[in-house]
Amino acid sequence: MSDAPSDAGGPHLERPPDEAPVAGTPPAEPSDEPRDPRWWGSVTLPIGGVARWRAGPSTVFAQRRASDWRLWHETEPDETAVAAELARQVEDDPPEAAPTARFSFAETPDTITVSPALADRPIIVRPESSLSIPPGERVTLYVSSPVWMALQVDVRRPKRGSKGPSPAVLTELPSFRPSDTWFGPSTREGELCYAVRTAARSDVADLPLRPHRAVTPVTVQNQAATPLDVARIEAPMPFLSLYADRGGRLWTDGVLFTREPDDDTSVRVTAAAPAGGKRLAEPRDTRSFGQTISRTFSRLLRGETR
Amino acid sequence: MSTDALPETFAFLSALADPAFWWSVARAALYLVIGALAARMVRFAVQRSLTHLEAGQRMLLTRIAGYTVLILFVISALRQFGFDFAVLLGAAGIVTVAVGFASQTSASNLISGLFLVLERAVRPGEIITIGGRTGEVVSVDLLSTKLRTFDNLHVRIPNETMVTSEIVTLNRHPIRRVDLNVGVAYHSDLGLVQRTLMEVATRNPLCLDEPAPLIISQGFGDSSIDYLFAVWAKSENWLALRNAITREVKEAFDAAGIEIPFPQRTLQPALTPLAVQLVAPAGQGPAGKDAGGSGGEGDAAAPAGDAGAEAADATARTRGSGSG
Repeated sequence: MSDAPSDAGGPHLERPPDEAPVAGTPPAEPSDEPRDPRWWGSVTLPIGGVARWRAGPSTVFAQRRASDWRLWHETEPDETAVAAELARQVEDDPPEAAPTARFSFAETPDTITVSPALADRPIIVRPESSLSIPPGERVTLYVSSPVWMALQVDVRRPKRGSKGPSPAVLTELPSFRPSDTWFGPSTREGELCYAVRTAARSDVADLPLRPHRAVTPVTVQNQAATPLDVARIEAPMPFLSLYADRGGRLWTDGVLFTREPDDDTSVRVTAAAPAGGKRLAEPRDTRSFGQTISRTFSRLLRGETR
Repeated sequence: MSTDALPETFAFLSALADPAFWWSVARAALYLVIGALAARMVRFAVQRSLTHLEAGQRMLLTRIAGYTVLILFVISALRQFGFDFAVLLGAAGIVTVAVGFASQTSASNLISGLFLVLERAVRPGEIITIGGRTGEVVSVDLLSTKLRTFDNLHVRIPNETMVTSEIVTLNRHPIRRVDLNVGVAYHSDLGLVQRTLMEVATRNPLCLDEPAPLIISQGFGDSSIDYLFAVWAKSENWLALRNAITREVKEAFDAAGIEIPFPQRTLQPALTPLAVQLVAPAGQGPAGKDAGGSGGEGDAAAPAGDAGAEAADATARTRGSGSG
């Protein structure tokens, strides 16, 4: 897929040794409401074997052949699909359509891992209904955005400094491809982002469980004397880590926007690992967020519509 | 050899023997060596200090600075031999006029090239439209600009033409708008049309969410109500979005039952038929009677007979109107 980031140095799944391996776990019963939204994990396949991952509207099939891995990526148009299926080997034949991608090896590695990854560009979140924050208030809004499915295998090419096989990202597929959007002061300068609409819920309990979306807690603090109309929020996804809580819901680090009394806006990434959660992916952009605050970021939160 | 030349030759030979001559040669050589080194250093310094400029501009300024320094040193070296530059400059003026007339076009292109580079009117890699041709700029040289068109033709455009023509750069800005003219039938639900168009824009991931898609009414057309549907895309995705959006609008309109009409003309008779009155001359039956009589035979012939009666009737009416 051309829209999938091909960043080979992307996030690597950090799996603590005490975690139970997902491979070989009995398949989850298909149902409308996913009891366990976890869909990521590794599968070890014999030659000719097919594995399947299902995350919301997206289904990925992978078939191991003697000399290549073949991938199929199917997406439903309905983004609200909540199906989730643990990584597992399936008896079905792979889809009849031509594979979405093929990866050739002299000898294919037997284990393939699919892990969630955050978007490779910032995400512009727009509340579905207008949202205003009175002076002096501090609120936390929960916004969710689709994650990418990063497919990795262990390759023999050793990383610099290590002797064993090391994981390499084959490709990243969006679980749901958000629309592009432009974020900047004019049509001449700015940056390309993804656009997401959100209900901007302020209560965790209200959040629907969507396996293919990660929740970002966005805290907005209005220290100025006038109400703040939140027209759009830029969530700096490349700078955030990805976590899974005990229930399997995906979370990212938090973002804190402060509107200063002099009307300037400051942005800070706040570590927000859920209690008992595990970190699944490091930030894509390893630079410190503070170093990269640009003109765009100073306009992260704007009341007016351009 | 004439006898006049002999004293000059002797004078030259005696000058060669003069150590002062060799002293000035040595000094001139020293000037040239120092000049070459100084020019190199100046070029290096200019190249280093102008990192904010583009490669083409930097190269141009570096060369100008280097050659200026070198020329100054060459002039100093020549002065060691007693050259009088006032005479040379006078001669140079005449030569310049002559050369200027001879190479008017080239000089004009050269100057235009300098302005093009300094103004950064076009940069290599950009896609421009000039004089009806669209292509990628391969290079901006001193005399001409080279273009590669999309059907892979190499086009050389004189810089003078570049400076005097209107140039449209297609990919200077990061995002671009796709304009699509949409006409819908007069009986369409216009609210539904606008909603359908916005849905198409929302569904296509290449279509930017912001700047928001535009639906601009173009007024009442001959056969349709016309809209301009304008959506934004990243410049690289412009063509893909243009193709996709046309197909998607057609599909969405088909699904929603919105008609995109062909050009239509509604014709209405301008005159109502005149009242018909049969005026038969005395002693002659009406023409329709015979025709009507022939239709009376058998059931199968009845329609034909009716038609015949109608035709006859029409004939009569025509006659009637003709005579009336």
